[in-house]
Amino acid sequence: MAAPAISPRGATGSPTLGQRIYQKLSDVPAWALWILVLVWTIPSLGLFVNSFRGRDAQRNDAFWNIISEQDATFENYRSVLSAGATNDLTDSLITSFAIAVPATIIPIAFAAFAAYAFAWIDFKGREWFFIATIALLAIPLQVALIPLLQLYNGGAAFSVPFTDKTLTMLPFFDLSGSAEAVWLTHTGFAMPFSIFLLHNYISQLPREIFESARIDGADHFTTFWRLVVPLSIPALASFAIFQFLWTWNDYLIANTMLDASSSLPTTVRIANLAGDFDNTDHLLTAAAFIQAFVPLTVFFGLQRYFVRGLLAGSVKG
Amino acid sequence: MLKILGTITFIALVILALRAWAKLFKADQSKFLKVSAFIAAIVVLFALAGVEFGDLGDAFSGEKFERVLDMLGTVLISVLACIGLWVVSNKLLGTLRFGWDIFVGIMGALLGALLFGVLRGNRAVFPIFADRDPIELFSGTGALGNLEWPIAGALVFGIGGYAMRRFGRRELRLLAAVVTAVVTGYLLAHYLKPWHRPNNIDWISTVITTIVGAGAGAVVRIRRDDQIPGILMGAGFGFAVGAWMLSPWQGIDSPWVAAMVPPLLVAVGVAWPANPSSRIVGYFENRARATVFLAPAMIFLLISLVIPAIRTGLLSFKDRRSTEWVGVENYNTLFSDPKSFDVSGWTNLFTSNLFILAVVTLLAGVLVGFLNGWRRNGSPGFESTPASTSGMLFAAFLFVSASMAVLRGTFFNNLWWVVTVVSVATVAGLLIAVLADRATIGEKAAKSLIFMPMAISFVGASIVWRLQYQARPPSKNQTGVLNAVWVGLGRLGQSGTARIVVLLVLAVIIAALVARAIPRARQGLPFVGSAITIIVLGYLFFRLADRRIGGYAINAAGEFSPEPVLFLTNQPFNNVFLMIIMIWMQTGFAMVILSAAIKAVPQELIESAKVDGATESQSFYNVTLPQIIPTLGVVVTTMIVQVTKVYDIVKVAGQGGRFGNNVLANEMFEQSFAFGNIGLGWAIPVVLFLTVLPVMIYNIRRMQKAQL
Repeated sequence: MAAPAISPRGATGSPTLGQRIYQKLSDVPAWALWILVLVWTIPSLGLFVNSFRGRDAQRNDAFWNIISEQDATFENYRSVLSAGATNDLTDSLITSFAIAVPATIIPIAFAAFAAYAFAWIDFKGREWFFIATIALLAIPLQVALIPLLQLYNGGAAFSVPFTDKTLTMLPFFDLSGSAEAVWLTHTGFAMPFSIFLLHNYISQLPREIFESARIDGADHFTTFWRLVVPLSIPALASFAIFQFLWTWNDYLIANTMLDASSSLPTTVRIANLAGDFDNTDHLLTAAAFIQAFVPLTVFFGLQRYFVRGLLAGSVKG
Repeated sequence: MLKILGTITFIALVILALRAWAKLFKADQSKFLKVSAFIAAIVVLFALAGVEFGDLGDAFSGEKFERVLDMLGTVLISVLACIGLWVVSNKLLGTLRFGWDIFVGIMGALLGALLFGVLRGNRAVFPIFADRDPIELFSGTGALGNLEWPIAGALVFGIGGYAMRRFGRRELRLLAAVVTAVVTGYLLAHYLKPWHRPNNIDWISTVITTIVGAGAGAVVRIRRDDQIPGILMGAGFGFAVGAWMLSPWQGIDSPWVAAMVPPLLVAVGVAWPANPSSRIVGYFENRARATVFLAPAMIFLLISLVIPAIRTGLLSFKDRRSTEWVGVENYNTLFSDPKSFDVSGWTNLFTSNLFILAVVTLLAGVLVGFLNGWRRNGSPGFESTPASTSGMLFAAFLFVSASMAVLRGTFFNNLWWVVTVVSVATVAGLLIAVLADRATIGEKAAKSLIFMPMAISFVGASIVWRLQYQARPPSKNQTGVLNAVWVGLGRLGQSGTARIVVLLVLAVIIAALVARAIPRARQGLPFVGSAITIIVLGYLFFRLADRRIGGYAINAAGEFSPEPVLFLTNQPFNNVFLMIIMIWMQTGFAMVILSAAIKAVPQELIESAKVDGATESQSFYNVTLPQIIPTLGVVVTTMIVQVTKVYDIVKVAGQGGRFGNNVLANEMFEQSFAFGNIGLGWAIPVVLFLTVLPVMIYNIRRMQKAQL
């Protein structure tokens, strides 16, 4: 972007090779940047390299010794990927998908509906309603975790005040310990933030298109389906990616809602492995890498959308 | 069933992907190649993995694949149910087109199904056919047995609703209402289970509730010209409350009065007014659309955030089994337990290194400001510069860290997390964003690499950093990178030639920096960056010259032995090493957003500042920074949400918070599940909420302003 302050240009106007190299080397920001990048990458690199080292090698010296030892092995990966083995992770990968996919699609859809209503449907008290929704961002999700767990465990009953009567509000659906409990929880908790972000984007769509749609006789449903959704695809897609990473990587909610008898997602499995110090420590590297593989693929494959969605509306211009 | 649906989804997904792929080929061939290469890479990777681990090769046939299909089926059902409901509601509103009567009929059917379904769900009624038909059609506990009541409700209310709105003449509408109400009342009275029958109506209560209900109905419709419907419906609901809720439920006889009166009142109230004009229908449709669009999100918010939060708030005043009200005892326990709230060490604050450093930085910042004011105006006076402001902010940050290091306990740990992670990650993200903006090489690659940890889970990151922090006995090789470096530095300090060489190199670098900084200082250009670098390097130089660097110990006999740092157990700074994990992850997030914000600042503004003689840092401070403040708000808010949730890192890398590094989320978890003290488990998140509240209110208000 910005050229260095001193540009050693020759009389002809085009720098020689030497000058160009000097220019690159004297680029202090680049140096500083790449030093930081190095610092940032070493931890992941260490994990990645160690995942190819055996148990003893991992225990006895640091990861860079792989160069001198030359004893790379797939043994760790084999242990965590072979079906039926005690530390098999493939089942939990499926569970992770079963949680993360609905926990991505459903909140995005619901938040888009709500964002559209807040942005383009006129109704009384819209502003206050919106502020109240956004204010829910302030509630840390821990506040709601245990009540939700109780709800999944026993349904909801409402004892009518001053009487001895109880109304069943929500029947007991036997959700405790299931993937559904986890993604339902994710859906609720994701709501304020996703409404906020999508509202930023949807409210900045040009007003004219809505007016011309109304003149053509389209109702809100048609407008939403035919105009807003196609126009917001970048924001929706990117926020979907963001939400996917969050839910795929979540540990707190899954660990609260699920118990040992349920099929556990990868994060919980790995954390359990990590608690089991001596026996499986060397498998953690491979397990953590496999767990990170899906989000990393999503991330590197769809990087551009990812960034754009987060920026929806927060950056003007 | 699940498997069939899963298979269908699977095939649909494959077809969709292929179609998208083919479309891309037509639209943009270079992108098509890139995407294909990406897919090919993944396929090859999987193929290699399949060859290497035979089991993966069978993934598409065995039991695993069936689980995948199951999963896809469940996902399909969930998504279709959620989104389908919404689409159906919209389509229902669309029936307004066909006329008000049809719409009311359909809505009535839905309402009836819901109402009768709830009655059945509460086990308040017998199966309809149970006492008539020996075959017991539909009855029983199966799905169909539970469906007969909703179906009956849908029929009665649907036909009734349609009839009530079909006729223009009021008498006919009222007739339809009476018929509907009588049928409803008959069903209710006849099929209620005996222990749900309000036979002995408590007339005093009922009359009171009826009058109150009627009054409320009148008030709600006070602006309309006709208040009879409101009064009638209100009275109906009031009567129902009195007769059903405030009266005892026992009896053999069918409760004809209690069952007949409320439906009659309500139905007559509904049927009374004339059909609405098209203007009112339009108005109604708008409101109904808003409801339909908002309802899914609001229902989820209500069920999973609002109600639980209120419940938590209330129950935090109950004892450990949530039975007795105990007032603020849980909070007392929390704040009197030194494990969660310990201010006894505050006197150590003034002697801690961090505090002294904070004071020094503060003084330096003030001094720079004064010097600047002096240079600008010729007379002593404070005028802030980027250097003085950042110095003072840094001093504040150091001061908070120093206080948190002496004020111990879970509560302060959490506060420390929020302050440190949010500020450091934001500043580091900003720094990297600026650097990347200026750098000529590899901006995109560098940003991707910094951003990458964001895609890793907290659990994964904890495992990554456990490797870095590992400390082994001094006699053994250090496997953790940080300890390997630290112990290596210790060795270097005790070594011979290597130390001299490093000292020489350091001296050269320092000399070069000084040589660069002095002329800049003379010209009045900023030199603070160089000055800080010189101070830090000079400090290292003298430590190394003094052989006092790195991790080492010398015993009484004068023998050297390496001494690793126990990063994760040394209190209180093990907290900081855990925070570094989160900083490592969150910096990328801050960087990406801030980087885009910086790029969005109009170039002309910066150019004109430069024309006016502003230096690079001045133009950043005075032009760019104010422009990206709203974005900073978004970043900070998002991060606070993330940091308050922190739990995974402490659990996995911090060994469950056993070494003075517990955080509230983990404490809550332990109190509720491990120690069985639910009362305390309720109180902790409330405290957490109250702590974050001021910041969040501030941020939300600012975001609100930035929006408008």
